[in-house]
Amino acid sequence: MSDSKTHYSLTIQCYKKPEVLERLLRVVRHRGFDLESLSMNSSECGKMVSAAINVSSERPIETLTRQIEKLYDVLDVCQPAATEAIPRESII
Amino acid sequence: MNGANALVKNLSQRGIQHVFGYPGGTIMPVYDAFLDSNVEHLLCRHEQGAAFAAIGYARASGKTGVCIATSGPGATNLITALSDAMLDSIPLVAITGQVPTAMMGTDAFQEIDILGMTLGCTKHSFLVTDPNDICETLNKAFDLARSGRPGPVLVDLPKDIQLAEAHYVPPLSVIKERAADSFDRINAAISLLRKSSKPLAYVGGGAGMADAIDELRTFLTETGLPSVCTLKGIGAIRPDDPGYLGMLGMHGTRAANLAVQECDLLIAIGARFDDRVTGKLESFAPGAKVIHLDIDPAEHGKRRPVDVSLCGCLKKNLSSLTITLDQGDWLQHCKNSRAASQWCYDKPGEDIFAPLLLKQLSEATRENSVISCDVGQHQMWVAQHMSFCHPNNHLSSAGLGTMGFGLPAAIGAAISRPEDDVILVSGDGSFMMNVQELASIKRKQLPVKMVLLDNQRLGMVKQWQELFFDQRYSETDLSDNPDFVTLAKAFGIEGRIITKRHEVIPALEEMLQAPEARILHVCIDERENVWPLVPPGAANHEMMEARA
Repeated sequence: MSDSKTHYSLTIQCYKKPEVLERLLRVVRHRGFDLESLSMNSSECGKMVSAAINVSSERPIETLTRQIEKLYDVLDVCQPAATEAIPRESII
Repeated sequence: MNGANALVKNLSQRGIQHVFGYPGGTIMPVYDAFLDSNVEHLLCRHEQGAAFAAIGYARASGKTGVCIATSGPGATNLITALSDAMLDSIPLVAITGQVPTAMMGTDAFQEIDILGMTLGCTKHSFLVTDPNDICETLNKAFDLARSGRPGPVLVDLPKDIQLAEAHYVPPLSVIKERAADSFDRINAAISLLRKSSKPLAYVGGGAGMADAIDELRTFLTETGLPSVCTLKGIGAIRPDDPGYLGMLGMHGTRAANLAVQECDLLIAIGARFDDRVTGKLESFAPGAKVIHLDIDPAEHGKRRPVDVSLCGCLKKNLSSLTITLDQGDWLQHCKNSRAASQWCYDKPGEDIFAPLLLKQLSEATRENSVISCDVGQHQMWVAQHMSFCHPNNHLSSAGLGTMGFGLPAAIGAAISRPEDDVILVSGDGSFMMNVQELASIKRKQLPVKMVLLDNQRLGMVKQWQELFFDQRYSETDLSDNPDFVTLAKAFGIEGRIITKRHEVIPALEEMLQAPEARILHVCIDERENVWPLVPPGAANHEMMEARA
């Protein structure tokens, strides 16, 4: 089964809230993506978090990135070779 | 002032006139503050009933609904309704009490991590840990509930935060007016429209949510496009629009489903290609290009590739797409298809035929009446056989399909629109799921009219057992139902039971003319099914029809 899956890397910038990682990982699971690895760093000011995740799925990555972009505490989602970007202000 | 007073003052100043809830230990400071406020609280008899009443209030009025509950079981009882609001994009703010901050994480009495539990069924959830953040959090919550694609937002308030001294901040909204899409995108859509010889509008609940009904109707009139709608889109298109073909999907009309399969351009307007709409996705509108107008970018391409995506202001986009087109033979073909697949109401026998009764109810009600339904066969019959002039008049749990929705939603509608008639159409299964809310009708003396279609079965499940499980009927027999008229009488609500067709019109008239709440218990044949039906896994043109 895993042979048909595609691997993706995403970097997500978000506000540092106690539950922000739960929100992120819940969306990853619910939308049909397997989490392969995760690393997280807080900004120097302590208000921001950068999460780098590797995920895999048979589904196109846009089905995940567009759901993550809708999370209130998420500021930005970066992915190499991303499809057409949708302005943040048109999401929230 | 304390946090609870600041919260209630903020609600009051933003014009919230009604909230629906149930008190308990950790929300008591807020309930105390209600006593000194002009915000009217309606005590429901279950938190789920309160949340569905808030949803009915929101759906019937277009405003944001507010519900309130205590921590633990009070909060968890909201979850089904929050999920309902999530799937149907209903603006709802839920306020929950929480144990004091020092007790959180200690498994305290009535403590549950409601923020964690609602991550998947809210647009966002807040836990307030500083009393000075209460008002600003409320401002964010109300903005979030309405902005973009609407949805439910939860605000969890520990009891010590409610009792602490708090800064008051007045209501403030920072929702920006949404722009239309770029000229390039609009022009790309217009180009597709002009090239198409068989275009079709597929209208969902987003049209009403975006307050774009006038623009939609002008668009349909000017372009002459034939149109179909989803369950939640019912009422957006005028029932007498010459190109309107009815609801599409699993229980849609033959004309609507065939038009979708034949069209060469589908203009999806505030719709999301739901599985109950598409049937077998690979076979849905197989020859069509797609223009998708929806405020939520995540819906674009989620289930169906899109040729032109328009995420901007629906009102402005529809106005920009309003061009004059000649539909010629295609429109006539759709009209002919509709004429060839009219509903048949002349069922033999003297038993009450529910589709006919609902058609007669529709004809007997005033145009701006609100119909609230539950979930099951009767819900589909309402969608098929009643007419609606606005989506706010048709309250139906579409995405989550929640039995027990109808009665509390009707209560919310009656509170928000006291000048209009509110009629509940329920089934004997659904009615019992939130039957305790008859007490809320009694408490507020709400003139809700209730039509209870009783086939002594869980009808839709039984229909599927008949068709797809070799008639092996498992736990769908409800022939031990209570006497519904007597049950209503216990709550001070008068009613009557009817069993024969000739009784229908006089009984409907009597019910509708009564100034107070009434129940009409309608006995129907348990063998009656909902037709047409697209079986699971089939394409939409592979509809099953009633056996002759």
